[in-house]
Amino acid sequence: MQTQSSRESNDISRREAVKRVGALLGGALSASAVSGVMSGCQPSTAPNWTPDALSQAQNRMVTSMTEHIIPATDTPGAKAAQVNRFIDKMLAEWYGEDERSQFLTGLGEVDKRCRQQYGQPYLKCSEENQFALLEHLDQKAFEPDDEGRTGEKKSGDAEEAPADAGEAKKGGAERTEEAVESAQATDTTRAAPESPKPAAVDPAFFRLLKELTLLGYYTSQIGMEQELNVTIVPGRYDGCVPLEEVRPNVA
Amino acid sequence: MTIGRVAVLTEQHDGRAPCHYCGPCHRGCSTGSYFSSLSSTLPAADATGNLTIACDAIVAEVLYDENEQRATGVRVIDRETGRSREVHAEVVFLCASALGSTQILLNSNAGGRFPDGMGNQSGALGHYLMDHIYAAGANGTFEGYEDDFYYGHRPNGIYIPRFRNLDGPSSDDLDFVRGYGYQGSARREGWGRGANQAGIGASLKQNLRRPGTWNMGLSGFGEMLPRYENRVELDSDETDPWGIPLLRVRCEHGENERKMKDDFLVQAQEMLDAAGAKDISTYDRDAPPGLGIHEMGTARMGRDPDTSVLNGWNQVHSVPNVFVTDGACMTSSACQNPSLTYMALTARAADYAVKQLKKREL
Repeated sequence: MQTQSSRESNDISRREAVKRVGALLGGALSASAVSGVMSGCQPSTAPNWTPDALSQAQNRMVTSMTEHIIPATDTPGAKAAQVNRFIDKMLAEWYGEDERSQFLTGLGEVDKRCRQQYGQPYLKCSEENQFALLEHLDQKAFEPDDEGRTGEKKSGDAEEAPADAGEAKKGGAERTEEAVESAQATDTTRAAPESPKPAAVDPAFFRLLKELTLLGYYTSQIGMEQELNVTIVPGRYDGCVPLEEVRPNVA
Repeated sequence: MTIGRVAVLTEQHDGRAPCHYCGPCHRGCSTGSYFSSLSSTLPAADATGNLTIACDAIVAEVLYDENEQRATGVRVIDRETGRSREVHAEVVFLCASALGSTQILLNSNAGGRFPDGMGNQSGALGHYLMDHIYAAGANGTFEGYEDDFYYGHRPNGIYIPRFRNLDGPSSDDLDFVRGYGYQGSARREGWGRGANQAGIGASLKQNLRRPGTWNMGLSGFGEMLPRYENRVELDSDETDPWGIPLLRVRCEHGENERKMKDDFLVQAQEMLDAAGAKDISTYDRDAPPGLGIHEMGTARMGRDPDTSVLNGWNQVHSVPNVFVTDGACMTSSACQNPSLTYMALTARAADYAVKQLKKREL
């Protein structure tokens, strides 16, 4: 709730500190993800690195997806910042089984969706198709609900229509037909599906992917120094300066 | 509204560097610019040449000599080996945190001499536990100033001193007693906002490069009333790994705390509104006593030994060579941060003890 105040560090609990760090970074991050970083979850930069939680193919998928979310522009993007390694580390060492399997299931759902929509797995799709699909998933993950809120939906309750109690127990791609059709009815960003039952992708998976991508990128050296021009040791405090002086690349 | 009061150096002092405004004070200050016992008082104590630190030493109880009617030292358990040993002293200062000191006193029964704990003739030991009411307030955004930003991170925020139940119109018709202050700060939203809104790709990246809207928040810190029912006691069955009875805590906010907390929201909202904020939202997180980490009371100070544990010099009424100099001594919580008060009380009690020792009156 406050800025980086030494006074407040006397005043708040350790649990609260985690939440507040989330707030410092913009207020929208989950305590779970932020506490991973706070606990020193830092990926290897070794050249012979191999993933722990992800398979090699899943790692290539994640690398591609994170780069679509934060691409190289006039500064390097998520791939150069090795955000995939960060995500693998978080999945392997920080998250519990629930979140890990939600993420891995989500990757499978994306692949299944690609096969049905584009006739090939995600990694074989063109860059354009990959981006179009991710953009669609992003829209679905953050579209307002009936009460106008965004991004607060629980796993499995957004793109899929409400399922009955029996259906709700099914995970991953085995959603109800009704739900999938409902999803298609509002889907205008893609060609007509080849299959009448394209795989739904859990919007909670996409939100997790996006959150981890942003967290991994903007806490990396590339993200902080090159993209945001952050000085780790400012040496002084000035409460009001022109934005361009602090962040010359905003223009 | 004023700037907060913080113990952070702006100049080199006693080998400690000035603040370099890096930001994450809550992770521990790597330059020791921000006061802590590690950066400031322990080095000062070490410099006297009179400091001995016993590591992995858990104090289980204060030892007592029935003939002398005095404490003789403490029994210490080694954290690693579990072995007990005695450390003897003319004077014992308990400064083990409010609950820690009280736990030690409760556990100091001197072989049955103090069945309810040392210094507990009054029955007050363990009672009147307090913490600050907190985790409620309001946030609002401010339009404009989009080309203004800040450089570095100020290790401080603003403070609005207590204004309720002082004399004057702001105290009329309130349904609670005592008061609260606000801590607060303003900032621009960071890149984290991107995790909660639609958009991917180059446009997202460019968008997050620019900081978001200005936001200001006010968070109340309120006084909790001392109540006899809010108490700690030794568990009759369970012990920690070193055989010390666990402390059972029974504590909850009462009607006054709930009504005061409601007022946090109303007043913060009004202030932000009057300041021109938009999109004002209030919050009231579930924050039971303990979350404010300002626990105090349970060995309260008082003139009457029948209703209190410590006298005005933080001495245990019935065992005058034992002092308790942490939050346990507090009789009321006020609404201010208490650490500096504890330090002042400790310095005062230590000074008194030295003078009494020199006069051979302790």
